[in-house]
Amino acid sequence: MSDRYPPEFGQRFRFWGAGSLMSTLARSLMLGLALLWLIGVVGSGFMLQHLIDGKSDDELLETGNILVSFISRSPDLSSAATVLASAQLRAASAPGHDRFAYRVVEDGGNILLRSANAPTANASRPLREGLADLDGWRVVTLADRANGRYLQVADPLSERRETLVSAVLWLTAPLAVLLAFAGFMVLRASRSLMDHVQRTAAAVAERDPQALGGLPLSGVVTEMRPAVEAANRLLARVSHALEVERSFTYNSAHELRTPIAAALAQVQFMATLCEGPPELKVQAARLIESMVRLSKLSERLLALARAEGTEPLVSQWVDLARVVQLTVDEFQYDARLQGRQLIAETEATRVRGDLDAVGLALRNLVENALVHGAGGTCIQVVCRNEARGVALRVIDDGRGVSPADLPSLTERFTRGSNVADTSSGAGLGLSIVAMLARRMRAKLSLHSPPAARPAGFEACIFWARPSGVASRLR
Amino acid sequence: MRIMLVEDDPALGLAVQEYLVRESYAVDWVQRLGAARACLPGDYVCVVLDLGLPDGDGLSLLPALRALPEPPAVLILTARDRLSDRIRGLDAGADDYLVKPFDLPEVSARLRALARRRAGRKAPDIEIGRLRIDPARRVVLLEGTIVEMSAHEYSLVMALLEHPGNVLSRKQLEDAIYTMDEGAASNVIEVYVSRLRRKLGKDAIRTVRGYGYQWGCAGRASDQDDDA
Repeated sequence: MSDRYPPEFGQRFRFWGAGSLMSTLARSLMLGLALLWLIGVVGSGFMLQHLIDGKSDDELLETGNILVSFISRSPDLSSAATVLASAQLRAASAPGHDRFAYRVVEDGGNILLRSANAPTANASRPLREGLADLDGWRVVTLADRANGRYLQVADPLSERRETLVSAVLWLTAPLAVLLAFAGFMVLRASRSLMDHVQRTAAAVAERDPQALGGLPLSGVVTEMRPAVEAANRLLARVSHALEVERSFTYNSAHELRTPIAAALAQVQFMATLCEGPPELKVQAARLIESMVRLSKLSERLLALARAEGTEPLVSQWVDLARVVQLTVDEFQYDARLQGRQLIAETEATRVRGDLDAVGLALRNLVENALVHGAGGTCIQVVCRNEARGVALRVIDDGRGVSPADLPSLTERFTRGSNVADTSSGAGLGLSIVAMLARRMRAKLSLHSPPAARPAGFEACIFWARPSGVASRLR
Repeated sequence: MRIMLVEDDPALGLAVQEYLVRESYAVDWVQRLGAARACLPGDYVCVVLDLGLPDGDGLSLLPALRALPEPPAVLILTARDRLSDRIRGLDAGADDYLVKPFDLPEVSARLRALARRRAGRKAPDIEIGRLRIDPARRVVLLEGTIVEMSAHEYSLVMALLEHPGNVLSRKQLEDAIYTMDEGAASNVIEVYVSRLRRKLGKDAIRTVRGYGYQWGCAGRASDQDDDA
């Protein structure tokens, strides 16, 4: 849909495009109705023509018989002419009737007498009694045997065509109105039917891609119910498979915490006992480093399983200032700070979200700054009320990343190209944060360097206020 | 400084205990809530508490700890890493919260900070007269010169400084430097006091006959901020 149309236009007419169900249904119904209407009109036309011709022929024959009975008693042509002219005048005086034509023809085909409107051509031989079409006339030929001649009485065929056309018009005009009304009803019924389809389609379209719960069956028409139920069964299978996978990842990562903690503690304790050659201390330090990496990787897997989990996030008011303070407290003694300051800058801010998801996202952002912001002096964790919403930022003054790398940093297993130590992170942290932000209807944005700073990296989770609230605040 | 460690995982508990003992803490390690309750009151400065224990939730121990005349600081050490778990633990009365896996030096640093806060000190270093102690490095300086001390001697000095002005009985001092599993010889405190007097000066520790011992010199410990 082009941008120049309002969104509701696209919503309303989305189903009229090529291949749309509503368009196909409406077109088929309209074409079917039009075809039926056409067949009906043509059939009615033929029937009317037959009826009109039959009735007119009967009248013509009856008129001819009456006239021939009159002129059979008038052997001379002048008295016959008087009778015929008088009958013609009387017939024309009746409403809706034109003058008929007549001729008295001798057996040889010569015209003995004719009305002014009768055709002048000689009659074809041999003359036969009965009805026939001649030069645009319907002619009945009757024998006046007493006088050895024939009487031909004729009606113009155009009169019959006009009657037929008029009758067909009167017949089709109401049908055309009915057709238009039927079309309207078809459209209305189609739209009503399509509303159900649209509602189901909208329910699918508006769905969070991460949410694999079943589609609602309420309001689904009976015919679509099997399809929706089949889709729900499929979703349930996918959801179950994913849940099993995530549950395995989550449980494995969770259960690994204590053994990893034990191994790490033992190695660290062992390192404190190393008083032998320097190589031994170096080896112990490497072992500790490996254990720390293992523990961080298991934490990331746990976080990933949690971020991707089908468990719906709770929508509650989250005190961001407290989350920031708790997170800063958590990392205050982290060895990766390497002399850097970790500072909380808070003001009273609260957002709608899931407390654990906000905490998990912020922890990942701080870890990201700890790992990739090395070389800096300070990591700031800031929550602020801004004009259009609430921002939660983690800003470091490390070396930052190339701006070209920013868009891909939220992809899994992606690190900045100028990250010195590729073994220091799993490349999952920012993708986890982006996923959590999306699920909380917030937005993650990355900046390097941060605004008005020469270097560093900033990750910002932004919760936009509803437009009404924003305008009131302005 | 006496600590109770409540951790059911044998490998982890042993490593933490041994590390903290090496850091001059007296550590009683128990693996069940019931055993932890049996150790109370115990005169602990800190309790390191796991939450997922075989006989219950570690948080259920907090009311009993808070009810003690001198409640120990509580550091929760757990695999539960959700922020809501952290808040629940802190709101239940814990003083700090650390998620597994963790660095042992971080545990030690957090315990020092908790002990410092419990003693009402703000600065990490302890300065009293000519004596200065850096708990992070376990270094004792007398007029700027490092005084070599054994772990038990250091623990005894710290126990006396944890209660400035108070007279501590021999039993209290034994509790502060020995775990329940360690048997203290009958005159071991006298031996350590004698050694410390030789190293720090005869007035460093005052004997209160019939009661026990008290930090001497100026009579009380003070931190740098207080001095300022």
